[in-house]
Amino acid sequence: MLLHEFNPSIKAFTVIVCVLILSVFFDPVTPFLTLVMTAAATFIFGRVSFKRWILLFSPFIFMAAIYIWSALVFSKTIEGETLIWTWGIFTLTEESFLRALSLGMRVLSFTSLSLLFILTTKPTDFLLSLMQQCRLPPKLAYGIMAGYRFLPLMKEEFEIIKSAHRIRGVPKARTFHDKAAELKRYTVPLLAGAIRKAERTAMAMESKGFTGDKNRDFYHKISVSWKDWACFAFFIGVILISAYISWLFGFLQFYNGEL
Amino acid sequence: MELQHNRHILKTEQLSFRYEDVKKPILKDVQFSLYPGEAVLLLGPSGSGKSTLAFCLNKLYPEAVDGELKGTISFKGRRLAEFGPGEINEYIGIVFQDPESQFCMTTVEDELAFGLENMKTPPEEIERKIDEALELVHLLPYKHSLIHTLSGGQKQKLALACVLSLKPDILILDEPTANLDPASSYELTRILKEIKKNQTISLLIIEHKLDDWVNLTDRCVVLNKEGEILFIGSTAECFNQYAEELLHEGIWLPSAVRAGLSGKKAGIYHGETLPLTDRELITGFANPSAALQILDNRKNKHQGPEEQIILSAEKLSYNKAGKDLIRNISFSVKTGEFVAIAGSNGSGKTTLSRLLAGLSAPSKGNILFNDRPLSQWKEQELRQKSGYVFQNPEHQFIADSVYAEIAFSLKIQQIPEADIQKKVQAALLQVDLLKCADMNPFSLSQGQKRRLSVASMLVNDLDLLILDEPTFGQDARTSGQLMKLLETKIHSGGSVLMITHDMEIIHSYADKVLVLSEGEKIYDGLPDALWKKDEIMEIASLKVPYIEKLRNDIGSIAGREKLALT
Repeated sequence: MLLHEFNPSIKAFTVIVCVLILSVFFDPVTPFLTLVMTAAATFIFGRVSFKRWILLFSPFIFMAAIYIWSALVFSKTIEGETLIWTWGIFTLTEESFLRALSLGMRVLSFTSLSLLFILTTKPTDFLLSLMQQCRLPPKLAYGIMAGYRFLPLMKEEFEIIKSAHRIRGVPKARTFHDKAAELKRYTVPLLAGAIRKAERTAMAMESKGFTGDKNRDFYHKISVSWKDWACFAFFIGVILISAYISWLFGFLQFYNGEL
Repeated sequence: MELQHNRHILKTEQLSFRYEDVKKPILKDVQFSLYPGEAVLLLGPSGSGKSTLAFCLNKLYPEAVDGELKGTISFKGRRLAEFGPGEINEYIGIVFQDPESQFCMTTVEDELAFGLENMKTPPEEIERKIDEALELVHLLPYKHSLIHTLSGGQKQKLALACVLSLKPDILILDEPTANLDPASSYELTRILKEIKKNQTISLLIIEHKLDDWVNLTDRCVVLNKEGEILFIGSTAECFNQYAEELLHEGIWLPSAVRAGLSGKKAGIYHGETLPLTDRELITGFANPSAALQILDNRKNKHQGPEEQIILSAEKLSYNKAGKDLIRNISFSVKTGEFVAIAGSNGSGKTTLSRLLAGLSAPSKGNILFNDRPLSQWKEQELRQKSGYVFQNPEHQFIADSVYAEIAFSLKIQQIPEADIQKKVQAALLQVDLLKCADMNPFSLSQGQKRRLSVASMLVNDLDLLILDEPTFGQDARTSGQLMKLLETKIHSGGSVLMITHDMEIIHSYADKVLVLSEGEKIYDGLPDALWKKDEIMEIASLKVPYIEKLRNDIGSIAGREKLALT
């Protein structure tokens, strides 16, 4: 059973519920265990290569490190906490260390859950599922899909415009004022092109009889079965087990207005 | 049966259309009918409202645009206004010009399903219909491919399949081959011919280059500049009566007609009417071989005072993301030389031109410009001596007015204001844009934009100008004007390097032609010798220019006559 085969809407719902439950806990162990298990699920049931995963994950490690660092340095010391280390105005207590760590782990566990969704879901399937299960209006869904196709085209166009301006002998922008002018010079042709393309695509869609009618019979049916709910239960289970283990070792703590 | 055949399927009466912010209507009192199973060619100069008419006919206009439509259009006797939203699209389909912006899904299968779903086709029938439509355009092996991996020609075939899957009665083609290479556009016309033979479908075709379409069409409708109907009648009659007028309006004529016309002017064509086919043309000549000499418009080789090499590439290679896009290419360009680069889509032409312009650096090899390695040139200096014209002129515009656009590079060089003014005026005059000096470059017509983009390059005293398919999708007049500009450049001692799919241009202007295939140079030499190399022509999906084709035809007819005599 591959993660790709589950219903995208329910998968998205699962991720959202997991994030909500996780935010109730405020200890580093629960999110850490969740992180390990979701990552494992991504590799085993999602057949995602570690290289690809870590590439997307690493910026968040950096972000988490900054979180932890700032939470450590700027932590407020509460009376009666165990002191580990002091240096000038900086003090570090065991409790604030755990708080900082739990914040960082939270960021990473949320990331791993989102990656699990993103890396195992085709955008087209997700939109089809949103239309079929969540009554997303087709006008919006097909609009997003057409826009999604445009992204690589826009990037290509941007590169061309950049070199076209180089050819004209535009000097390199150095000052802030020049940079602003440069941005304006790029934006106008880029937008003009994008608007024209969007208009053409809209006409092409209309010419194929697209009216945005909500009664639509789909060729690709995205169904919901008990398996999808089993998957949902599995991930909720993952969090509860993480919390249970954390409790066994005496770390478990609920969020209590610490921030 | 006969009666039914004579009943029109689509009819317009007193059709006028005006865009909201323009006073003058773009279409005026257009009245014509379309009959089942016929193919009609819609001709007119650019800006005559051909596309507008096409969009009105399938109800895209006036809904998609602020404009006012007067008169009536009726389909099978029912007025278009009475059709519900999306209803008429089941009967009247359209294929657009731009292969990039016709699709909203990611795979071939999904795109076809999109249209069929819109028409409320029962889901269990959809797969069969998708396969049928793909079969018609020979795309079945690509059913599960991602659309962005297809070539331009395949994308247009897919667009055609999308329309055909809905089984329309009328198919409108709005310049479907304008962005395709010669071989792909030829294939598209062959597919349409096959379809027309096997189904009763009416075609309304808007096209620039007519050679491949003429033997497919039954009638012509010609619009004039004012958006009024100039002529409706059989294709033969149309070109016979209006050839000169069409030529004057800047419309491309089929090659046979054009050759016949110049033959007539030179007094060597004796046919009663202008020819539509090569056979008619040849029989109209008293002495076909002599006629060839007169018709051949190949320019005399322009000899520079000294044969100085201005640009030379030595063993260039370029790879990106592990792919070898350019492999070991060497060649040189001399002063005053016109060099053409040809090859099928994706053969590395644009990549090579970017290397030569110094926009990207080669992975291996050297480029010498004016005997100095490209990497040693200062950016500013290089840009004043070597220019590059992009495929889409809009990409190059940086100023708010046409005047400022041309003055831009002069200002960078800190030339005195008075001199700038003089130079810009001269450039504007040369490209016939003096009247538009204060307009925004983006508001110009397609042809004007193209001329402006070239003028903004030519205002510098360039030694070398590189152009990336500058004549794509341009009408005959714009194309002609552009080539004239380049000729002037050559005569003043500059060199031109041009990527093109247009074999007529190569034949008429090029001193030398390079042919690329999969990043390798497979030909480097005179155009005349290239036409005889069948294998290279085939690999690079090139077509021989018309005059060469005619020469072959005349040769084979003469050969057959000889055989009959013996």
